[in-house]
Amino acid sequence: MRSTNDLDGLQGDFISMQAQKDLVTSAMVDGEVESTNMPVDLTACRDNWALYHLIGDALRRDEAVKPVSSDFTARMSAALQRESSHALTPRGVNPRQSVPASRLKQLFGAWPGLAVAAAVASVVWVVEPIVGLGSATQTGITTATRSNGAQTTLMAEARPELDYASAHRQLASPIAVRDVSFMPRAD
Amino acid sequence: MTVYCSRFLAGFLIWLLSSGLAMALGQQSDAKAAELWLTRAQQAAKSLNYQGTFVHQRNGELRSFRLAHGLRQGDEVERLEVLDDAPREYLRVNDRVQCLIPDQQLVVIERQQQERFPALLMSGLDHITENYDLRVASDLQRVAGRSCVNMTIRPRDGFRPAYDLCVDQQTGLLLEAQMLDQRGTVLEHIAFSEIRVGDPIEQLALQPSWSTQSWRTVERTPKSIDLKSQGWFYQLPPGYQAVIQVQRSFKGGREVAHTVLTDGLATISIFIEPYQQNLSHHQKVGASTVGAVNLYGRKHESFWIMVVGEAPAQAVRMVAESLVRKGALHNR
Repeated sequence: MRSTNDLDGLQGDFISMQAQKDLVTSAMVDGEVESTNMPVDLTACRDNWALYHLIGDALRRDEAVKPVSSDFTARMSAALQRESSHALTPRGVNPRQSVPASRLKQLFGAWPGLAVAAAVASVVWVVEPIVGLGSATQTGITTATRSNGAQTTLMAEARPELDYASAHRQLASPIAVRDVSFMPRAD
Repeated sequence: MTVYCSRFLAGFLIWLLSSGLAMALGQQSDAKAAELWLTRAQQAAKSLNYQGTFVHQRNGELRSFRLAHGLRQGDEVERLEVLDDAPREYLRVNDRVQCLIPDQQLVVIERQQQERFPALLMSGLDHITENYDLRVASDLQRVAGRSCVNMTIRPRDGFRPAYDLCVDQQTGLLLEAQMLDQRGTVLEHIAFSEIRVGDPIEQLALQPSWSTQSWRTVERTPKSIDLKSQGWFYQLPPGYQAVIQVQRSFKGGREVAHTVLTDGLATISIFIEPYQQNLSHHQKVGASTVGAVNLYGRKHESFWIMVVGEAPAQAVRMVAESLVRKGALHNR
């Protein structure tokens, strides 16, 4: 049985090279790491609420989505642009590589709306299954942006079921992929 | 005439018996072959070197991941990168996992409680075959450019879902898995889109993307509990047993008892906590569904019970409705 120190020793092996350290430091100095604390004030987020639900509908059913207005398109591309510029880029490798649409169709041909899902996934589904909610909303969905210092936030309706499902998956899920749970910085 | 008849009859009976026997044996060997593939898949996941990307689809969400796994001096080492949404990485040595969360500058360390893809089983194989019918298909499929053997795992009753697997013909590694409900609807789907098996893992593949020296580190060691000793009784669906029982802290200071039941593949969670009248999480009584997950909420005495699982609704409901605290019966 490895001692608790061994993991740190292994981490020593993992320590990245100086160039990588510099990259992260500069990212931190630039304030490019965000917190996922979510404001509870829903009135301020009404536009985003509508946007979230529209996207949610698009993911679920193609026919539920009316042709998008140019306003929506403009906001979406703006959000996507801001989102990609904030991604930390380690070692020159883009961590946002997702599977190309053609491959997706090959894998999941029967699934409707999947191309839409893949396209908007990086904007909408910045989902952290944060375990435990008080009266505040549960699964917060945050666009990884900062505009004028304020955080743009999409709020989900309080869905206790999502929370419990998420808490369940963290420990026990048949086709198990990791879900992280953590409490945001309590400050 | 009679002699011919009886000889014919005898011959016919012998043929009937032997072919019936052969069929029974064939079925048995088919199930045995499937068991062997499943065992092999489990071992391959833990002992082989492999690197690749896989896609996980659930409830309309799609995420891709990059995985590197190998054995180093007898230890399992692994790095999992979340390629979509917020960047995350998981570094694992055996059952100790570091979760790197760059947007919080946080490292969460915890002990891995269950197997993760491409490992699959939560308990031994003998229980699996009691509850599921295992079959190996004769034709091969192709996943991630590799030939793989198709396996079907079908429930013997209505208390668990069905699975379709594809395991690599050459190495036995699980390449694709689907979970299906009673009607054959795909509830969850995971598959490698590209993979290399057997090559030694380079150090670079296991290095995290960020330097975490200045980050906060939180070690999570949930307290073990035992529902029974706390006075709870409940009915297990056939074939299920409790495998994890821990006390977890939810946000807002809620202490929740979390018990995990499994039949080896399917899992059901029981959450029990003190009831809070104004809490939104304690309002939804009865059955509900979130994608592949069935839930059942119930208030019992001063407790809130929520049972959750990728099992059919009747299994979830059965557990939820059967939960009772011993004190209730005697202290009226």
